[in-house]
Amino acid sequence: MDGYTSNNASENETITLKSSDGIEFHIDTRIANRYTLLNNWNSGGTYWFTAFKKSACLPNVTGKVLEKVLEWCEHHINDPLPNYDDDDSRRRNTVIDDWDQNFLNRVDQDMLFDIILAANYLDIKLLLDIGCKTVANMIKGKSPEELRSSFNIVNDFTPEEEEAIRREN
Amino acid sequence: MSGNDENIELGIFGSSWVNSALDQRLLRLVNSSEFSNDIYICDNVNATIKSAHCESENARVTLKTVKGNNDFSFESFINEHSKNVLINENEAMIYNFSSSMQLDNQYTSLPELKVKPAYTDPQFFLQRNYLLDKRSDVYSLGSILWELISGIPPFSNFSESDVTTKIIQGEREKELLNTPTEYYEIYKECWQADPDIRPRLSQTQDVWTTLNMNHRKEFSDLPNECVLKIFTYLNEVKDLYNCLFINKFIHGIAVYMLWRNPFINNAKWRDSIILTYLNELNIEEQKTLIPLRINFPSIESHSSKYAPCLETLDLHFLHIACLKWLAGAGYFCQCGELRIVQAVVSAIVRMVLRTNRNLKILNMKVAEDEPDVSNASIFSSSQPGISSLHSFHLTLNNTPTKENVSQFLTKLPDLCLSLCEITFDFAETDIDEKITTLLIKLIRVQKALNHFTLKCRGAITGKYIETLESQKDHLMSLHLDRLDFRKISDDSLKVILLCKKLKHITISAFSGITEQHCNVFSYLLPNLETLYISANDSTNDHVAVANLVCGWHSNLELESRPDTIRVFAS
Repeated sequence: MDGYTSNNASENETITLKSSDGIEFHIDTRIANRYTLLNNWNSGGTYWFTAFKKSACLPNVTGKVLEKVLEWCEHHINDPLPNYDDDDSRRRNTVIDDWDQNFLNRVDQDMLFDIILAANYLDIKLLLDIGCKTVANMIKGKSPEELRSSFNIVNDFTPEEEEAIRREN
Repeated sequence: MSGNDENIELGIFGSSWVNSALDQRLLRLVNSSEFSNDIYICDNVNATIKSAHCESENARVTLKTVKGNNDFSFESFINEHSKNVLINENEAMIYNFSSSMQLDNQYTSLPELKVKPAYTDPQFFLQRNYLLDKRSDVYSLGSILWELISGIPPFSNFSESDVTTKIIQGEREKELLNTPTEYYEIYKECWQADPDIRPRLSQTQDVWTTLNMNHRKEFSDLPNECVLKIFTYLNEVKDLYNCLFINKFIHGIAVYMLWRNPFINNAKWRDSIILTYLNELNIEEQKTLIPLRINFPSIESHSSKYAPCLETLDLHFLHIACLKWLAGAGYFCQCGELRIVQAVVSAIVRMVLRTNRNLKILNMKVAEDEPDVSNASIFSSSQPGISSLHSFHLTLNNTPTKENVSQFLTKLPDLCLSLCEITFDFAETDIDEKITTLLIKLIRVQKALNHFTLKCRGAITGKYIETLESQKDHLMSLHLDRLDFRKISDDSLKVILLCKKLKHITISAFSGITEQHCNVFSYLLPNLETLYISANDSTNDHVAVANLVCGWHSNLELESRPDTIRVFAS
């Protein structure tokens, strides 16, 4: 597939990302270079890269969500690159940094799930982590009934099944 | 695709008008491989509707698969909306709301559509000189959505004047059988008489993402790996326990999280773990316990639900749990009756190895006051067994001379070749030579050992460290605990200099370290990410060592405990 772009891009060069609803975002190549998947597009690695060089279409991410994801990426652009080898220490650490906390507190639950989906799809590990942590924090300390209402879940157990679960566990 | 020619013969491609429509470029043929990321929308007796991304159009489109012998409705539908239709491999048609311009221009510019009242904004009939606009298009879209699932145009049995009257009076087509409520809600919204309260549709957006905005995201909308990730952050058993009752989907995940290592943190229901596992034994496994007169409480099904979740098989905890359960259930266990514990543990281990494909960690403790480890034959004969193990942790509290221990360790290098993590914890200084040979062989045969922990004071530690040469391309972290450096020559230690991937080193509770040893570590320093030095007691050994290793100028950071130091690579 055509779409090779030189990696010697200067700092203020941008690439264009197009959301599923056709909204275009011009992003700093430094952001693209940080994240594996975006980086793949940048070097023409995947089929999302269209014949137009330096622009990529994201069929799974809407403009609203992409805007949030890019806002997060821009804030963290100068962070040191994290070490992903140590999965365990990331798991143990359930603390979320203040800015991230505030960032995710401002979105509604649907947007939070959308951000998780997008971060997973775009392979932005840190954003995926804090998104999942935030949802986990929303689960903590709630009764099943409260959990159902806050996550809009219908109980599909019969009373007998519920009783069986109580017995088994 | 195979069978394509045949389909063309038999299917709609056989009908002449489709061929002529294709010739006249009224229709476009699209290969099914062009579609990706499809989202299921709804399904009823007439059709399946999906939304998918179409590569050639570079847009999300709606995809309909006609069911049964529906050629007629298919044909009339295409006739009606030919500009918006793509044909896919004889079975589906696509309705491209997103990139085509029909919503903006075509309805208002096509004169014949204005006289099709079933598709026309009622305001057009109610108000003189009413101009159709985008909001009217949304009304039309409602009709199209209805038609998409029904296979026939709305009010097709009525004359146009009748339809006009009905629509002016506020009548709309009825909800179709087997149509999901969400779908019905969408076209109902589009059909509202007041244009201002109809949903808004941006021209370039996929109709489903626009209209479906009321659909609230649920856990089941997330990919499995994300849901699992969320649940790994739930550290409290209570929270996981509550999740068991939410719904079936989350129940499945909570069960997995609770039962992957049930002996940790689950004090409240630890006693029932053994009972649950006994319920999952198959007939053969139960037979081994019948002579011991163990009563199985109420065995409804022999299906395994909980054992397959197990990730960490900790034989020590399993033994203790068995002992407790047997004592609590009235099987008074004295030393002579350890064989009962042994039998129960063996049956459970056999069952776990038979049903579980998830086992990653095996913890084993050999000690005098510990019941015997299970017979090695269980591990080698039961499938899928332990061949996919990632971690093996062995604690030897006395020199094991017992036959089954060495039997097990003899088999292990043949069974487990893909360990990432090995821990050896030896309480005694001198370990049986035979066992040492077996354990060293275990290290050597691993394909890629990343993490190695050695807790030992004895002289044999040098041997283990030298063995790490076999893993020089893989080793990423090394933890040495209770090491007596006096018993290790700095030449032995130099082997770790060969490990190019080594990033993390921890030295704890050490003694007798010399300048030569520190020198070896300082050679490693440029490649390391962390060097963690923790002293035996409140001596200042760790500071001295850190300074020796780092040559007095590096990023030293005292941990909250004053006897530990973490050195960060500068």
